[in-house]
Amino acid sequence: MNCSRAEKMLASRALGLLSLAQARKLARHEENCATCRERAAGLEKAEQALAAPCGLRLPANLADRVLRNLPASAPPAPRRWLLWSPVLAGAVILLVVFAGPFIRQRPPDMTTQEVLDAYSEDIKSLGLWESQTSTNGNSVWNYQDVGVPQEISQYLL
Amino acid sequence: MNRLDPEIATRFRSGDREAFRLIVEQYQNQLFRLGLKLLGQPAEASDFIQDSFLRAFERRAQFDPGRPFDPWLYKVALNVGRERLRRRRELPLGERMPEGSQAAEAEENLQQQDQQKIVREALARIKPIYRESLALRFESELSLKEMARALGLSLGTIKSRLSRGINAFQKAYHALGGEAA
Repeated sequence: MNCSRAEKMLASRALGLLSLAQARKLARHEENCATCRERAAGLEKAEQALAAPCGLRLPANLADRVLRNLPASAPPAPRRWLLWSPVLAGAVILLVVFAGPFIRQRPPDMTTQEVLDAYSEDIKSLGLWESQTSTNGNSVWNYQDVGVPQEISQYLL
Repeated sequence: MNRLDPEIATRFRSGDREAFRLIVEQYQNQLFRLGLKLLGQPAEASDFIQDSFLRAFERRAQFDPGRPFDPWLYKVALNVGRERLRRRRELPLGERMPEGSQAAEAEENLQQQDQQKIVREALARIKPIYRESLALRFESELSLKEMARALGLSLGTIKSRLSRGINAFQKAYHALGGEAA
């Protein structure tokens, strides 16, 4: 082991990060290297200084003070996505404005047969079935033809 | 290792103040020592722990009860510490406010207190990234993996920072006469 490698291991040992096998190798190197022994002594003192008690006491009643400083009714933690909501709303508007003409397709007018199929149950219960089955199934359906006023038909298929 | 009871952590997350008090009582000493190592001054460390606990309570919804509590709390505290360091732009220790009276000095001999001042001054002389790594290593009970998570670093980076940090600290401590005393 050279001194460069040993130096790295000395720091690891001071931090308690060295395995037993590595520690043995390092110890063998230190037996023959005064420079590394000196470094090791310095790091050991540094480690002891860092680990020593701080010698100061906490402020009295810290927990009480912290609790006193809590807001009366703690607000719910902020939901991050809310911060993005204006951006998302803007993006949706832009999408509708610019992409709308390309993606919006009006459904084609339904044929008589399609309407009859969709409302077959209702038409039967109203007694209209017989009168409509003779009509051309491919013509465009018109509710007014069967007596449904436009104020109502506008809400139907 | 004295870790937080998961049941207390869950109660804390739902805003239970009694659970929060238990957390403050359990972690206040560790956070105070962490604050001393990060910031150097007892008065600042005292403000640091209060800010850290209040921030933790405000952001409790971000804590995942399925994961350990300690790394999350230390992450919150380290962010508070970093903000404080940024605000004061890392002034040399001598230019900061005098030792505060908020933290009463323990009944220990003068020599030990002087040694601890040298430790804090030596820590103030090294890079903050090394300082926070060393502070976490010596004042928290986090594993290396948890430290890496709290600091948002890889395991290799945290090891490297610790190694460079203790070498830098040793030089600063030696230069301040720490070893001689």
